[in-house]
Amino acid sequence: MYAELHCISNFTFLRGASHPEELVQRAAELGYAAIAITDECSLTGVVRAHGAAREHGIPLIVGSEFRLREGVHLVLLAPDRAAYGDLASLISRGRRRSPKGTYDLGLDDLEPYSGRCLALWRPTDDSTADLTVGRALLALFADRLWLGVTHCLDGTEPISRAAHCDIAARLGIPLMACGEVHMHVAQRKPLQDVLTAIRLNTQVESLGRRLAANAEHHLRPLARLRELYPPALLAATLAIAARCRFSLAELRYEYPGEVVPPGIGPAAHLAALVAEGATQRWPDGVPAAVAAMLERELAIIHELGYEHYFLTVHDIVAFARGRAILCQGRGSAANSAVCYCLFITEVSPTRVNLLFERFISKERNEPPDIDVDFEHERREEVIQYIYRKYGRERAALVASLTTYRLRSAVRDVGKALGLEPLLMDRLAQSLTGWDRHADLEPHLRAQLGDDPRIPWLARLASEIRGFPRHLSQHVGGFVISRGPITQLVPVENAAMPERTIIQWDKDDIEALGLLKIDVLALGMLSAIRKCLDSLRDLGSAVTRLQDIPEDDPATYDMLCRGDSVGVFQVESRAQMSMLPRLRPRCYYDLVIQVAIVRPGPIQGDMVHPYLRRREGSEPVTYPDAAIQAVLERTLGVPIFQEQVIKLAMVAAGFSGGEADQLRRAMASWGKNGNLAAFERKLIDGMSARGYGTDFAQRLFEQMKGFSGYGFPESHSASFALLVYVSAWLKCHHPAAFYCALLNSQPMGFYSPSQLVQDARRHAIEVRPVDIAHSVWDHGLEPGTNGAPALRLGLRLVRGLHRSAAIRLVQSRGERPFVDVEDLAHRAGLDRGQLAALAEADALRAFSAHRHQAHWNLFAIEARRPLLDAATGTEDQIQLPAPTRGQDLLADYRGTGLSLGPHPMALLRGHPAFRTCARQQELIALRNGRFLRIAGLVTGRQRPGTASGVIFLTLEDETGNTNVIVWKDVQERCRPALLGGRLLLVKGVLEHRHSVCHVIAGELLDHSPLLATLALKSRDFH
Amino acid sequence: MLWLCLRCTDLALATAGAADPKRPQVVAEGQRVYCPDQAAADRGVAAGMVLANARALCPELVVLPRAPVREHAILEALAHACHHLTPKVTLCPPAALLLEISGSLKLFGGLAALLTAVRDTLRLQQVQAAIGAAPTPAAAQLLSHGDADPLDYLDAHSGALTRPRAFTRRLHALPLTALDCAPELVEKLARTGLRRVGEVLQLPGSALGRRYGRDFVHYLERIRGQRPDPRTTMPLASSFSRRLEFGAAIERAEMLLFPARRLLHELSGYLCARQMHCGRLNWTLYQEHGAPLTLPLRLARPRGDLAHLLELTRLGFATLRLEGAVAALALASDELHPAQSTSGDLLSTLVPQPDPAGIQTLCDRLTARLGPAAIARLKVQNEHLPERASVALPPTASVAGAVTSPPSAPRPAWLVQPPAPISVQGGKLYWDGPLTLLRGPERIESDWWRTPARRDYYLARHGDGRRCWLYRERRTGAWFVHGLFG
Repeated sequence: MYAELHCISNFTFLRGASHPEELVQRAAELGYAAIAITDECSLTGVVRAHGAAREHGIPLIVGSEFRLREGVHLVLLAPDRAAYGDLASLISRGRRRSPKGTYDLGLDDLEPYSGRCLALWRPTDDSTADLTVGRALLALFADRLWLGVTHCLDGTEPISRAAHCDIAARLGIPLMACGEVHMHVAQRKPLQDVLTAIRLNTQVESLGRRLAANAEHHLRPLARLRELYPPALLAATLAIAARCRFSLAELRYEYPGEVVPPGIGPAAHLAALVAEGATQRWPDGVPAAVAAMLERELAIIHELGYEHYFLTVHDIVAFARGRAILCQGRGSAANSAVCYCLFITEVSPTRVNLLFERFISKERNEPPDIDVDFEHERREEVIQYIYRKYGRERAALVASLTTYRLRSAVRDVGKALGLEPLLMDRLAQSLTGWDRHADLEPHLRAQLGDDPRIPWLARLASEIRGFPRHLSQHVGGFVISRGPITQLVPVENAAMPERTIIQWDKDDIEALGLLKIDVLALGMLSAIRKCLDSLRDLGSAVTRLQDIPEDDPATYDMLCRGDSVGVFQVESRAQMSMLPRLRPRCYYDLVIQVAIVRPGPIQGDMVHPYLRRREGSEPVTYPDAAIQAVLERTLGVPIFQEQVIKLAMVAAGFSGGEADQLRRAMASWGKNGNLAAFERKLIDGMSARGYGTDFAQRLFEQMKGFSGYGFPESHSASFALLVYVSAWLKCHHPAAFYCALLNSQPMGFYSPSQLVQDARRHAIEVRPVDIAHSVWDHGLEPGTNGAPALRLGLRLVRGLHRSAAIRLVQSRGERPFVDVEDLAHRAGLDRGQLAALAEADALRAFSAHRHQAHWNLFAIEARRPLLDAATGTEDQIQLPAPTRGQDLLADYRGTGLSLGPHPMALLRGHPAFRTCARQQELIALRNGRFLRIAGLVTGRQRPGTASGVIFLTLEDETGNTNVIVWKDVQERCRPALLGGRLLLVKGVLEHRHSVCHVIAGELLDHSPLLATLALKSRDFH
Repeated sequence: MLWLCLRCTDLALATAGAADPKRPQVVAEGQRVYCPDQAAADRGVAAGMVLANARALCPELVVLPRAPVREHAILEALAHACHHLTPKVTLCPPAALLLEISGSLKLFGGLAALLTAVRDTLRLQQVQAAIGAAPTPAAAQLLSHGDADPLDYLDAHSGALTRPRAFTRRLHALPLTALDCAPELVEKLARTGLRRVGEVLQLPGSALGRRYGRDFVHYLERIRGQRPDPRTTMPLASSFSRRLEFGAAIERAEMLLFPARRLLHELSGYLCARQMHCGRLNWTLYQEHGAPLTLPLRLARPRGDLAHLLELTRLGFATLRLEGAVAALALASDELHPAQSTSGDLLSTLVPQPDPAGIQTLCDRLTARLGPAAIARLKVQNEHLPERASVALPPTASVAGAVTSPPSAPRPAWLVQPPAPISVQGGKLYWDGPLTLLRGPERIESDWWRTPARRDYYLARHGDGRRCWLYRERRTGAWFVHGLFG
């Protein structure tokens, strides 16, 4: 008997106080005939509402609220698919012409979009203006216009109702009832007030009448509505709702047509491309097993109608290959034989063939998922290609939704409640990594004392968590459509100029079964491509990915030693200490290596069982054949997300659909509690089938671990390939490899300084930046011992512009520079650029040392040409040469690294470090021995998976040492831990699997000694 | 010429006062520590550190924002007090003063004695400062960055530069950061490996000028005394008025004598410099609760000496009866006479002019006849709750500021405050007669964050024909009359 047709959710940012799901569910509970979600100039919340509406069995109407330039307040509803397209286009028009987060529409903008939508007009109190507006709207919407009346007990109804009836009668517009709903229940009023305060950047207390007078803007029971509105007004809502037959389920994504040439069907075209690729891949004939696989995959693709998707990805990848941009696909469909033949992946089906699940499955009802990584420095070319080819009307980035997290929630709510901003900052600090939401209130009390606002702070901060704050752009997910994309979903501006995003995020896209293509950036691909390029220059036989020999023992030997700085994915501290334990010997071992040091397997406590089984210290057993089939390739221990889901089906009796829900829940765990709903079912299902509760419990823990970081085998397989490639390059062409890594910065785990030190430990000759030899990039030069030497490039010089460096290299090519003035004049360098070169010690061709270089160039800046001849004798002044310590500090200042002695080498003679061991001596020391070690702090890490422990990386002149700092030491040595740059650690050595750690017992901060390096008088050597 | 430079080392902290002496505190500028106190420094907090890191080191840290205006006020107060020592006082913001003292040496009995007087002044003004002394102001400023004792190179009596090599050694040992020039220039000097002032001073001026500019060379010449360096002495205000805020409030009148002495010391420095005496002291004591107390003290004849003024103040304070703790003390003196001249007191009578505006006259008459509580001016406030939606102001009050429109729903002009309870008998409402509901409800829900109010308001007719404004408290169901329509 009533349908709510004017209702905003929290996707009208900082106005609506309920999630769309809550509104829909509440409307269903109250027995409403339908509910419209009409967020202001936005359709961002409707997909969520759509899901909830299906779940609760209530019709959802898609609409949007607008406040026009003229002050007109209007709600538009979409009765059918065409009207929906109008609505999405109108929203896009308003959003696209206005900065991110805002829109701009006037009455005169409505005309092209007003032919099909239904309009609810919310008049003001100014009857003269209302009459004019009413006539204009009537002209646009004719019999699709209603005058919306709201009764919210604000004391003005008797007067305003009469005025509205009068206008309606004079213009012949029918009246209808609507609630202008802002929240699903009245209890959200405090939150709504807080949102208002946040929006207006003030405190609730000072808002006065800018707050709603009461909590009536919620979904009210039908009985209550009957008291407030005449029956005719309520009945009108039903009539309007009945006209709205559109459902989001009707949206059909249509692929861009141009990927198929005219005169040929998509299936035939795909098959032809695959056949052509197969002959390139296997010039001697396609193996029979592969041919069968191709045939089967093509059949499934055809059956599900995914040809255009594969063709679109192929088109993008083909463009990249044409431009020699390295790329690599990953994801459930990417490692198929079809993708191998389309050159979307280099993971050959013959290599991994039988180990994988099928990549596309019609039972699982998952859309194919292909993410393509491109060289990070050249991804923009690919994005621009997509825009060029499909046009901005048809291609847009998927949105990514920023939501309130606990820290931001506490900070904003606290401010709105009038708590001291400085206090709030401190409190937010203390909430880093906080996950015990139940204990929030006691924690707040401990931090803030006994303030009466604390219970409100705790309650409202919990309520606002998960509320959307704004839309930003997804890392690289594109939606490309056949027609204008604004017919499908509204498009708005991203913060980045020339970027547009759709109003839906990836979950929305997935929920509606639309397809997106992820165009991602990967630094390692840039490095690999640069490395291959320089191998070509060196005349190596290896110039393409395909040229790299498989299963090279030397490469695996290197990885087993944990010698992996710079190697893709396995260079982190945790991976580096796992390598000697897991001892990878083949490609599939790398697939496991990539996936195992992740929150999923760690939280599920699956790492140690796997390692024990691999070492042979635990028998490899399977509860039964069904589980064996799932887990055989990982020795009976679930490692991958796919295995966990498959186990839920095999061992706990989940249906295909339930498994699909489980996968979605895993992806969104942390945002909502959906996953918890599966815990009981999993454990019950498994015990019913005779599996231990302990195993089931660990499996569930693992699911929680996977969530958010879902790491599937299909991604791991693609990454493992790049692990192998980068490891092979490091093993066999180290100079070219380090050079390429340095030229691709910033990327990876290590700073240029750490990479250069590692290179030198691998006996690579590294030569300094020098204006007589360096170009912009780092390069290779013939070395003294036959192997290539690495010449550092001008890109390392802090403060030197690329354009200046290019001018420098050009003018040097004409003839060498004779002095600083010649350099400054011919390369057109200003004082800043010259000083940057001097500070980087790149001017040693002209000056004995840095100090003299600066002295000389300060003189030329001010000199006028006419006075050149009058260069006085004072320029004979010899300044003191820098000490090694001073040089070292200046090296770091000028280039971020030094080729001189390590600071620890200079400080070694200081009494404080006399009894300290060096990193390279640790391996020879007894396990469990007490020792002291000192070094520069190059890393501080608190992994989410390790309980409260902090890992420090100490660098000395011989290498990096991992120091493990437990809670008690953290408390005791807090200043040294947080502020120390040069630390002395007293602790106990721990050896395992040829990896050394030091368990810290005490940290001493010796950072002030670094400053003494700058002093002339003290040089500890 | 002999110059002293007093460079304050704790100005920022001095403005802050001691909020909680047990907790370490820092003064912050933006998100960085500007100046930590000793307790914070002991915990590893250093100037320049990001606040978040400082808090990590020291979770109970008290952070106070920097107050440059108050820093300057303290510096000025010190400058006034220094007029005891010499009339030639130059302000060098942000934190230093220059005193030219060659003319004062005889009066004080030599440099050593004068330096003692300087330290006494600093102690009395509760400021910590480093002292540099030199024949040129620029060198004195430089030396205030070191810890050299002026008596190491200046004659204790005459102040003459008797040990020039010791002087040069100390000057040359100073770091470049002591130089009074832009940080960029210091950085540029450091780039060439120069670290000490001496290393710069030893280089030829032409070489330096080419690289670092003529101004820099001139500055070096001023340090050496090779170039004149006139300084502008601080001008004095035509009257004296100071206010001193206490970090912790003072509860006993006799304890007020310490800050009073500090203010009087400053006043007498001011009088000394202007060669004036004062005829009246106006003390104001700002109490934490209650109105400020004023204590005018008239002198029998104008005086300028500290002891006398202090004694008079002591007697005056003894008569005071404090209502509570005192948070600040102010001293003003506007009756100044040239020293050693006597003049009679000025008598001035201020007669208020009658207000010609009719409404004002009417209000005054009404107020005079009916009492001040009987007449008020209503001002609309931007609030939902009726009892806060308007305030009664004195009829003369200004209504300047943003004008708030009243709510569009009907509101009575007469508010019954506090609301009068209505009795309910047999389902009917009675308040000195029966009430009949006419219209409503208007629902007002507010103040959930302090005392929640959830009310339904109705328009009603009283048995005697009056129209009343009622509400029902939704939590209890109780009824109240909250207003009467005129």
